[in-house]
Amino acid sequence: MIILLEPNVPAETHRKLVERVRSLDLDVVPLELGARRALEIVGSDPSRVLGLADADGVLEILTRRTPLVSGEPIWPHFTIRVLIATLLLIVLLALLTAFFPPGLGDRATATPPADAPSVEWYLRPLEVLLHKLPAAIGGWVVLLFWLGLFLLPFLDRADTSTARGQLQLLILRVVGLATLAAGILFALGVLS
Amino acid sequence: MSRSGNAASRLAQARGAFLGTRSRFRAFLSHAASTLVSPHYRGARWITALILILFVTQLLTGTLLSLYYHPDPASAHESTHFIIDNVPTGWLVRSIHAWSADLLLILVVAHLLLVFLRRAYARPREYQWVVGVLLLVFTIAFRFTGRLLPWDEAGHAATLAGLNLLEEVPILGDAAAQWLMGGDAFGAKSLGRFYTTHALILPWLVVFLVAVHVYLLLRHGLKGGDR
Repeated sequence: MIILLEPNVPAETHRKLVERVRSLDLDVVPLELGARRALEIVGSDPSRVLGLADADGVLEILTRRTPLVSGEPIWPHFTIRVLIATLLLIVLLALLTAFFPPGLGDRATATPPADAPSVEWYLRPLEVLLHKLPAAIGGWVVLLFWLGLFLLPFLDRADTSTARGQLQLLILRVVGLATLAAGILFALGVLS
Repeated sequence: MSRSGNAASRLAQARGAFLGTRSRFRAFLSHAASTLVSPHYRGARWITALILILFVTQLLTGTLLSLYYHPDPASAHESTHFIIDNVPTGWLVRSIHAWSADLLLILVVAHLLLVFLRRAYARPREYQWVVGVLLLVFTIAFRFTGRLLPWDEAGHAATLAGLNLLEEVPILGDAAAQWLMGGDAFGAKSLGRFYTTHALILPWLVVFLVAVHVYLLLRHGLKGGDR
């Protein structure tokens, strides 16, 4: 974040502002520059500007109690958005609960009935891998997939400043998306 | 004079220490807020917020269900029936617990996908990714261990099928399945193991890992230097 100061901010106000932003432990760089020059520094990312402060703006920042995000206070701007998202989530859960309540079948017996459902949706991709591939290979493919997922940051060393690196990254993304798409289709039972 | 002067000095020191602590706490809150609600990557931010809300929902509803649930094969099914039929809003709490578990799993996968596509796992956030994948594994484990608890036919069959799959995974699969079953075969001990894993072990593990995940996020910030 960068705070931009107009050139006419008094020295004492400037000193207080620097103390204030340091106490907030934010990555704030007060710049005593004209607005145009400061915007050139910020470049094409104006969201990094915390506030364009003149003398009155500085006083407001000095006395503010709520942290800012891109010049917007957490309260009420972001808080209300989080509350709305929570409300929508509750509505979604209420609808699912009302129209598709989870059932409770008969008490389990020692041997499940023949028509009992097989694995749940999130394990179907695993089931397909283990049962469609030869027995010895399927398990290792699953193990290697999870190992690769864990170690992805250490395996992906593509240098995106080169064409070769960009191609490597593209291939990785295509493989990742294809794997996910296959997993979803297996989970939904479209493929089996 | 000297004694009162010392007392005043000590009071001033104590006040300074208290305010200092509060100031550091405020600084931490401010830093956390500016990182967690960054204006960038809005989709990812809302997914993360929903994941946290759903996780808290799981903890709350799970705690309520555990007040009436009996993790014993002889009474597990009856206690689940009791929750649905006799406990006020018990059916609603159980339903929310079940549906939010599915939504949570979907959103964790979506979050991981967004991180993957943005390559936000790259240095210095490698360990944040590793912790995130661990959280995905534990979210699946949560869902899997919870399905047996009502002790009905469908859950029983799904769990047996899942354990059979787990046993086929080399190195780790067999040991994990045996640990969950409480022996070489699925039996009376298994429900207790599933319940302990679901209600005691996994919640603490996940709370710890979420704390590490958020700590690493605050330490390294979001990708793009957008703090």
